Order: sequence, then structure tokens, then C-alpha cells
Amino acid sequence: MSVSSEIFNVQLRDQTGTAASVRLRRTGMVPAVLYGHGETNRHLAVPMTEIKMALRHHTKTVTLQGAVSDTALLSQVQFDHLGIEVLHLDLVRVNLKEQVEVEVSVSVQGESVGVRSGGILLENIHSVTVRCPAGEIPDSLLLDVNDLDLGGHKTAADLVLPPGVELLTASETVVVHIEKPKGGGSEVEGEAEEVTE
Amino acid sequence: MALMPKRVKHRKSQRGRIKGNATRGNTVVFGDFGLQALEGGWVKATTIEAGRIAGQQYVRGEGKLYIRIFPDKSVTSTPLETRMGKGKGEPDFWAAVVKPGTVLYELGGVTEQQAKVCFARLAQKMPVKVRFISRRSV
Repeated sequence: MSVSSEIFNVQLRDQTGTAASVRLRRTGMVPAVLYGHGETNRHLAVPMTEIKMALRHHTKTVTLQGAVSDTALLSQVQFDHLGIEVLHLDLVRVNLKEQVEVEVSVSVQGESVGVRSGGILLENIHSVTVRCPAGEIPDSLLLDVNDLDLGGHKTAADLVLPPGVELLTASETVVVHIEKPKGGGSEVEGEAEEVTE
Repeated sequence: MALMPKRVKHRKSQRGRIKGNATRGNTVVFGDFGLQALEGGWVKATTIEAGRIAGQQYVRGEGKLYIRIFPDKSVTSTPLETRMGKGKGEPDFWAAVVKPGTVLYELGGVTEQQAKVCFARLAQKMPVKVRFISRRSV
């Protein structure tokens, strides 16, 4: 279970906009906004090191100290075009006992029968939406695939949900499936899937 | 057979200019690992195909390779020893316009070590600088 272990020492920022945000990032701080619970929103600056630590630990809820004392949910993290630097944070005020809807990653566990017979285990979706108390957001949801054979699949209904966690993603959504190996022929003929957004 | 559009509205396109970074198609979506462009450029349809073959030969049914770019830009050229004028040349090849950050290929169903080796082979073919990336978990 994810707990509010990460602490952000935040400062208030009075300047907003692109140029001010660029100047702020040069000092090792990241612009953030805090909103929710019907209160006025606050423009904050959070140290980059603390954000990187929180992301490394997959923290969902954080405790704010300094200019603002509150508990917040990491709602949205904006990255640069290469996905390396954090550009902006959205923080939503949250009570650790209130119910929130969050995306939780799926963790596939075990080696399936199908993979041992030469199949490919493919994940159709990598995260599901759940509703749970903000203080009890699971780090990931386990999916046991040991008994999965060639051509078989597991749906969201097969996920192991901790107590107090409700699944919002449709239960019939296929999470993983085992693709049968391609039979014979040339191994380079038209097998890659072309996907563009 | 290299990738190309089935039908286009205009056969010839202007050269255009690549500016800015990729704001979409810059994260791993389908597989677990990806090959991300670090600079902008044109990737020819034949190059995409060469990369696919290099990657496919390595994974050989163990994983799934996804191509995230499509060559939808026609590039024209005039034949050698042709006098100037007489209009725009004929379409020569198809290319995908790539901006820094674009994910070119993705790979799923393999270990990180296998994916790194596969993309190292594939990166040799690419006309732009690339780097190996993994899926960012929520």
C-alpha cells in the first residue's frame, strides 16, 4: 500500500507564465499547482530532487510542508519531450480517508504455460482505474498468469484486489493474452505491427 | 514491401522544415521498451523496413515489434543531367518526418536485456540519433 511517506518542502510562487517557469526550473525547482476541496488554488514551487524521489518510489500521495501544510494526490506529472525532466506538477488536495479514483499499474506474476510452449505474453493494458481511500492506494495490482495457456487471456476481473479497493475498469477488459507463435515461413515477412497515433 | 500510403490527395509535397519537439507519440504505449529519436530528420520507408527486419530477425517470435512511425511524406527528385526548369521532379521515395522525442519502434514480450540488444542492432540503421527507453509506470 502506498502511504504518504514523501514530504515536499514547497514554496509559494507569485510569478506565473512560461518565462517565470523557465527561470524557476533553472534554480532546481519545479512549478506546481495545488487545488481541490473547493478552496482557492495555490501556485507552488517544489524541489526537483524531492519529485524525483517520489517518482522513483511510485508515490501517489504526498505531504506538503513549508508555505502550505496539506496532503495532496499527485494528479498529473508533465515531462519534457524526451520524458526525462519534470516540467510541472498537478497536486489535488486530498484527505487520506476519502475515496479517490486513480490509475494503478498491473504487475504480471509468474511464468505461464503458454510462454514455456513458445508463446508470447503480451499486455493489452498496463494500468487499470480503481477507487480506494487515498491513503491505501496499492503500488500495483498482481495478476497471476501461471495457468495461462496458448491463446488464453486474463481479464481485469482476474486481478487480485486488496480490501477496500474497487475496480472501475470494465471487468471483461483483457489485460494479458498469450499469442501463439508464428508457424514456419520466413521470419521477417510482415510480422511487425504498424501502429501510429 | 516498404510502407507507403494507399492513396494520397496530392502526389508531391513541399519539403517543409522540422522545428520543435515531439508533443505526441513520445512515450512507450504498446510494448515495454522503445527506441526514441533524439534529433529530427526524415526516415525513409526503406530504412523503416530495414529496421523492422533487423529487429524481427533478433526477436524471432519471442516478442512483438511495433512500428510507431509511418512514411506519409513523398520526396521528389529530378533526374541527373537534367536542365533546370520543366517543373517539379517526380516522387522518389516516401519518408516519415521525425521530431526529437518521437518513439520509432517498440518491443513487448521480451526481457530488458534482449530489448537492448535488439534495439542496438536496429539503431545502426537509423539516420537519427536514438536512445533506449522503457515504459514509465504510473
